[in-house]
Amino acid sequence: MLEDSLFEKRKSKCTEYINTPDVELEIPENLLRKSPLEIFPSLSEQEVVRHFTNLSRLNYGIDNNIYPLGSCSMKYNPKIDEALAELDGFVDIHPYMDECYVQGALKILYELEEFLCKITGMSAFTLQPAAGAHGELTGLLIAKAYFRDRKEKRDLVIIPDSAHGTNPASAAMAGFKVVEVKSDDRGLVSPSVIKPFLNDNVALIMLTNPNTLGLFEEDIEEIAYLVHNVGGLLYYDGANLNGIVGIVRPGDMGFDIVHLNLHKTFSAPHGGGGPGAGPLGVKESLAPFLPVPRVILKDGFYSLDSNFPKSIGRVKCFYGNFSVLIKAYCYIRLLGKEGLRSIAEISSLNANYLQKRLGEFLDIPYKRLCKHEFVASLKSFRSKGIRALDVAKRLIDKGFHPPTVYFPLIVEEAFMIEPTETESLDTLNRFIETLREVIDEANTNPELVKEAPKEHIIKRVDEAKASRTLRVKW
Amino acid sequence: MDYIPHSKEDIRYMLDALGLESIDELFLDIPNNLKLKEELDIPEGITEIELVKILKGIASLNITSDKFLWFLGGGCYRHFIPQALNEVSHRQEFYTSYTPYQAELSQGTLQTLFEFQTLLCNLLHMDVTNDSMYDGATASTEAMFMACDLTKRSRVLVARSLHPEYKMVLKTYAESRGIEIIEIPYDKDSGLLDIEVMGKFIQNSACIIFQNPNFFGIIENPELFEPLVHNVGALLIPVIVEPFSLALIKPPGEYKADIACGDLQSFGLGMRFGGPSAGFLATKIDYIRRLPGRIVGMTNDKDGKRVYAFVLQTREQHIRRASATSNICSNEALCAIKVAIYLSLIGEKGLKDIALTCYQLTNTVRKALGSYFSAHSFNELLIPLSANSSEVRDILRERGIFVLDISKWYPELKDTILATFTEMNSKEEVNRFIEEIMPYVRGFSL
Repeated sequence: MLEDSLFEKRKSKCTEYINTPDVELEIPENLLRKSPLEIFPSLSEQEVVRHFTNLSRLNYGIDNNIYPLGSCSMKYNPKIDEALAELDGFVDIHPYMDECYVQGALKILYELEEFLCKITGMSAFTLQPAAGAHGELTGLLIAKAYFRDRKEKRDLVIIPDSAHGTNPASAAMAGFKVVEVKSDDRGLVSPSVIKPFLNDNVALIMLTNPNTLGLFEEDIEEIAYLVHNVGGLLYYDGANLNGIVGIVRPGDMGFDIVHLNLHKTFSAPHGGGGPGAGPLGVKESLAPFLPVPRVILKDGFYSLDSNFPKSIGRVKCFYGNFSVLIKAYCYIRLLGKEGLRSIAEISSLNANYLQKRLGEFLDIPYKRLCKHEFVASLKSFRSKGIRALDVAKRLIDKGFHPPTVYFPLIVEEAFMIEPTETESLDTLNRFIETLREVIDEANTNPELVKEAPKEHIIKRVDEAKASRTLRVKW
Repeated sequence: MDYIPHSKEDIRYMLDALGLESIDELFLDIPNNLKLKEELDIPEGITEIELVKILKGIASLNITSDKFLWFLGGGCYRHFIPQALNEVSHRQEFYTSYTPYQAELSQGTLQTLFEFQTLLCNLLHMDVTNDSMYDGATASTEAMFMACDLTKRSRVLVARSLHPEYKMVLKTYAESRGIEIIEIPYDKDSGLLDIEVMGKFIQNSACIIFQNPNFFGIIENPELFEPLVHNVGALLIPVIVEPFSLALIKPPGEYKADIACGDLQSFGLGMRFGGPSAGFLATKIDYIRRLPGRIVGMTNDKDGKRVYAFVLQTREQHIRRASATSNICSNEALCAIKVAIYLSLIGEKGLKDIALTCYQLTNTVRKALGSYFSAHSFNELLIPLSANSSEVRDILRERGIFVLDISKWYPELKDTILATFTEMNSKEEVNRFIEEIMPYVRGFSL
């Protein structure tokens, strides 16, 4: 059953949490609100709880089944992390309390920064960015400040065509020019495609490693050498850290700036789109430019220090998405060094197993050892009029969330698949068999697939109409 | 401990299927000299039992607000949160799901976000809002960028009475694009935006960004300067840091704001040491294609049933890449969901009652102690002192009373203290506050 709109519900008696005060308003009439709040519901607590509970049941969560979105690392979110982030001592504290009252909060921030440095091989971290793209922008602003400090004018950022869309968007937002380079036939960034662009105008190369095809950029050392040789910096998009954590560190590969997505590798939940956390780490030479305040530890006392004259300033109010940071801290403590390595091991095992088995009936354009994810192409079904989106929608009929579709852009009719390490062999096998069924249907009964979802409570949604009519409120 | 479901036999079976001897062979493509030679230099894993002990220990090093007489605000407010909000928003279908790209599997998130948009537009009296920005400060940076793009101007006026950390974030972002920021002072007597100074600079500026009620709790009168702004083709951008104020005072749409932004932390999100909260960004329908972030629209499925989906995704980074309106991808969706549930729970009546209570308590203190500024305030009061801000703050703290010393941001206000009053404060608490601070208030001191 679909749920009525909140605004269609008959107004009844609202549960009253607050006593109505007896107030004499002394604010002049011309400053007061005139427009009515007619749209606001007037419902009992039970009615509201039912409405949103019923709505939640129209969602698909990681507790329902596998959520194989590529580059999203949709893994299990441990329940204990959720509970601990909600402890009074973490929720009921204010960012402007004196440091002596929030030593616990500062300890979490300090230790999490240390863990992330060790995990990535960087010298210092800021936890202020609220999401991966926010971390990217922070890193680019740091690079800009670094070059300004060195009196160098560089405005070019090199980004491969397989990159996440946030990379070029962040670079443009930071005021850089973007040049896109093509991946080679291995699916990798080849030093030879970068070389023609390298000069003293290059500020950064932004790379994801493993890249969005799930492939490790094997020439990373040479790329690092080349960009450093012209005085540029190497930026690491940490969206895909899941495939290598504990095996190899971005810092050791030659990256100078690293953002992480704590809502991916470190298992903070996605929340239907956020809140995330996108901490940013840098090598020593860039540390003076990190946002302020920074957490420092002196004689056993944690404090916030804003005295970094070269800092780019603030990128967010207060100290980042604290509740999300706690969840990542818990996850790192629970798993420890051996557990973190097993993330990379088992997520890569799962992805390679899926790639191999799905390769029995799907085209895998870059068929090589992958890390935590890989990309299949459904372009051979185009002749039957079937698009990747149709196959995705048919998976919905069968109770599975589809993989990421149409990304990366360099693969036609792409299915970008990331199982993560928390999916069991049994779940993977069920996913494989289900996808095989759908592909069989695509071959034998293409109309069925084109019209999917047919058995799901909601049929194909007309997204074009939503953008055409732009009805964006009740 | 970990959450990996594979038995040793499973791993063996899968390796066999891949024709591999060992897990290590999965990483043969990584140059050996780059690989870690030793384990990561972080602690060993622990059990859930140990984790709970450790985290409870760390949490106990923080002292919670209920141990104090609490009048601390300044952009992060302590408000009532019904337990029902925590329960419902913590359903796994909401918090473990991804961005609703597959509309058929995400109607819970999509419809809730649509209802969030509706509630917020009604409250702001604006045409359209997105589904959240990281926080109020980053929302104001996006408003600044929108204004510069729309007016093709690169100078921005920012009120000195805007939250100091918002100003810092604006400065960081402005530098990246070569935007010039001019700070507009507040009137020394009233605490209101200095319209005369603003008038001098507004020509050739993209916009005026001001907080309402401002950082000192003062209710601005934007109708007085709106014509000045619009006459020269600039945009009017209010920043709402305490959204409960909108239940009582004029919302942005009523004074012809072009873009409204701010923070929704007050609506059930809790203090959480400052995050996560949710920023918002709303505008006129004409500017919807310039609005960054995600927006949900109503549509139908193949059966004609009313459903919801993202609109205008071609503005966004995953499609438009370097030409996108913004780089934002992950936002604060779960916080927006919480806001929708929160506003539904308290309803129009609760919203107004809370706003009135904030105002009433603030006005009680104002009448008893006076106010540093002459203009009206909503829920925050700048109190004139006969002593130094930090001294008085420390004395009060010793007595378990928390207020905000703003002199580190406003050296000229070194003899004031900012106190915030919400429905969480009882009348008795407020009376005790008046009693305790009175000896240090200008005009009352012995």
